[in-house]
Amino acid sequence: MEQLLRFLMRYGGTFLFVILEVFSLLIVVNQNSFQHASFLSSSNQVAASFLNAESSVTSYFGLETTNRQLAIENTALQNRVALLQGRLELLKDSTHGNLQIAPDQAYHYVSAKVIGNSINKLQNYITLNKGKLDGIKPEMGVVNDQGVVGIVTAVSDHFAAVMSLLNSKSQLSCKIKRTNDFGRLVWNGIDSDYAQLLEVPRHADVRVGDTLITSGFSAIFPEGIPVGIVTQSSRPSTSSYYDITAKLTTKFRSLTYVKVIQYQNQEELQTVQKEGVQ
Amino acid sequence: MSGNQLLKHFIRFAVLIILQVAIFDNIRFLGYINPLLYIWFILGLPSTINRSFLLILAFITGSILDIFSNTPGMYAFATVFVAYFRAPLLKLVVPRDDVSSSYEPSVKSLGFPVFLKYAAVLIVLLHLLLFTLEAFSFVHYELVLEKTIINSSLTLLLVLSLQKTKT
Repeated sequence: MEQLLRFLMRYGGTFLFVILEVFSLLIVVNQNSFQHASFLSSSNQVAASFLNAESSVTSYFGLETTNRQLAIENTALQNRVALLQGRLELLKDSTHGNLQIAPDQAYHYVSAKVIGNSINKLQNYITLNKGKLDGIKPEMGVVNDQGVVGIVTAVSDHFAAVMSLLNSKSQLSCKIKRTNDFGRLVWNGIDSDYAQLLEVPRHADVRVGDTLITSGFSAIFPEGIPVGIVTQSSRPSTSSYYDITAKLTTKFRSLTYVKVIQYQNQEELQTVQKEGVQ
Repeated sequence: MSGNQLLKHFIRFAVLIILQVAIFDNIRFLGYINPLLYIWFILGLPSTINRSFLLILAFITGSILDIFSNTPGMYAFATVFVAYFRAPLLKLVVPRDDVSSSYEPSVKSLGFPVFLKYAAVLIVLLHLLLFTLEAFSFVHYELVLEKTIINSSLTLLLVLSLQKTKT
């Protein structure tokens, strides 16, 4: 006992050092299992309240751009409503008023403000000012009018942490709009404007300028949300896949407002998928 | 530590964390500029501070930053590592006769060349550790080295310029 005490007195610092470092490393290595723990993320009430206060000051600097973006999106939506209304009338006319369209809105959007957003790390996250009480859950998709933004990882009552597409751990199933060839979109950490599309087979036909959209395979994003434009594509002789770089349509430097996608039938889809496996 | 000193370090701690979270972790220029000025808090603590207490302070500082940047454990690991090697490094670079008395490492107390050696080693170590841990799941060694060199220089420059205004 006395020896133990003497040991601790002498090497106490080193002892504590080893304990703290092992503890931190364990958290780093197991970070995937801590991903949904909101108290360890920026959706933590205290941290997020601070970010919220900060963004209420800094968001004024970008108001002009934000307004312009919202106005453009508004006009686009109004045009779409007019177009669809016209089509509906046409259909009603052709069926002499007997047409009934079942309400089938599988996706619901919740708008949220970005209160924290980094692009200078390898693993970038975004913090939003909406949380559990607004119906947001982990694994929900986040988009803005430009394209895909990321996927929710942790939520607290009023805030959510979102894994940005600019994250080395992010993976997104995408397809090329023109040819319907599928691939997996990842980010290599170098340039915040460009991402890489993997696993597109050699026999596919990919050209510079092709548009990438979401594939709709998972319940996270509906099909057809823009992701990027192919800027470079090559077929290295050593690989059976294409080497594709795409410019992301979302401008991550100036994110202000985003929409979280709630898929109404997510649970049902997951149950069916699970039962299918068994 | 006298009450005055304690207050000074506490204010420095709070201001540096706010600056780190609000500004330095959010620089959107070029996409890899991320100086870690907060480490000045650890660098500037008195030389006679209890070693275990210093390690715990470092762990708390790192954990707060981890929460804000969604990087569980990374800042904590790097900060504790730097805090542990602070005392041995001071012993190495500071001339022997100064060792017994208590001082707060700064340009004023150590002189420019000695403080530069001390700060540069620890700052480079911190950036290298943090950026390596961040790249953990994926190998991009050139990027890590590039980020380390650029951001260490920036942090060092910031620490030195802030010192100058204080003396």
